[in-house]
Amino acid sequence: MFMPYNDFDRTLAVVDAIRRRMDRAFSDVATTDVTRSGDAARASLYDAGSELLLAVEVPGYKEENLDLTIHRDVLTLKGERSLEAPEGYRAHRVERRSQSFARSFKLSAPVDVERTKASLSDGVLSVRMTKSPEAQPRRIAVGA
Amino acid sequence: MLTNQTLSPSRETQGAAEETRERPTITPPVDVYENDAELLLIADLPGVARDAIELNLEDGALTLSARRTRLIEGAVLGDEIGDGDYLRSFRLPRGLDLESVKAELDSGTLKIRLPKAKEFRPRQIAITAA
Repeated sequence: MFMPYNDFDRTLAVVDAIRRRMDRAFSDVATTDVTRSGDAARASLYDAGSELLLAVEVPGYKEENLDLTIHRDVLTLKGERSLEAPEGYRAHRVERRSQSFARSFKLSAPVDVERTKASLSDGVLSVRMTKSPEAQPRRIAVGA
Repeated sequence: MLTNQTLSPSRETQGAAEETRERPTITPPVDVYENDAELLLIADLPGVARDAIELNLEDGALTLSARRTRLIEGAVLGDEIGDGDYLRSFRLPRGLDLESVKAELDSGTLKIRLPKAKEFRPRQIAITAA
């Protein structure tokens, strides 16, 4: 009775995938020394003066599926999600995958691990890191 | 049985201010499941708040569009997430009860439940001894 599910935008999806891949090639610059495994957990890193901010896309992950460590100037995030078909349902289309990933980011400044805060909201992990005192931007008064 | 209908408050497009920059469209991964009672769609939509999701049922198609918000502070050191909004459209089979569609968002994952109309659900017929 049910027809196979066609969607109109599959061709666009291919274009989109290529665009993302190109974006990624350009974005993995020296400042974010990124090592990755698996096509998961897209991330962005910002320098907001006294803080460094990291955002990582982790849809469907819970706190207990994520493991975040900072050692010196390297932040490592590991995650794992296992997806199972809901019980009693037939699958017509499965695009979301179980996955595990491990990513490391080289931070551009040392951070105070004690003051680092991480929160998970709407499938995005945000890590807010305060730079170590010696890495804080300082204003130097210009003498006459 | 398909009527033009908007499930969630539709964004007013008439007279709305346009973005100066075109925002790219992202195709989110979607699973489609079915059982005797319903069709279940599950989409990964990281970075989307509940009120930024729009579901439209029109001309026998379900269109999911979701506006992504992300926090950008200071200088960008690396950016894989990028700008863009989610968009996906599915042609729906007949026999769904589109008045009773439900959607729930949890941890960046959206579930859309499209119940089958009663007359399209399989029924067990009891066989009685003659």
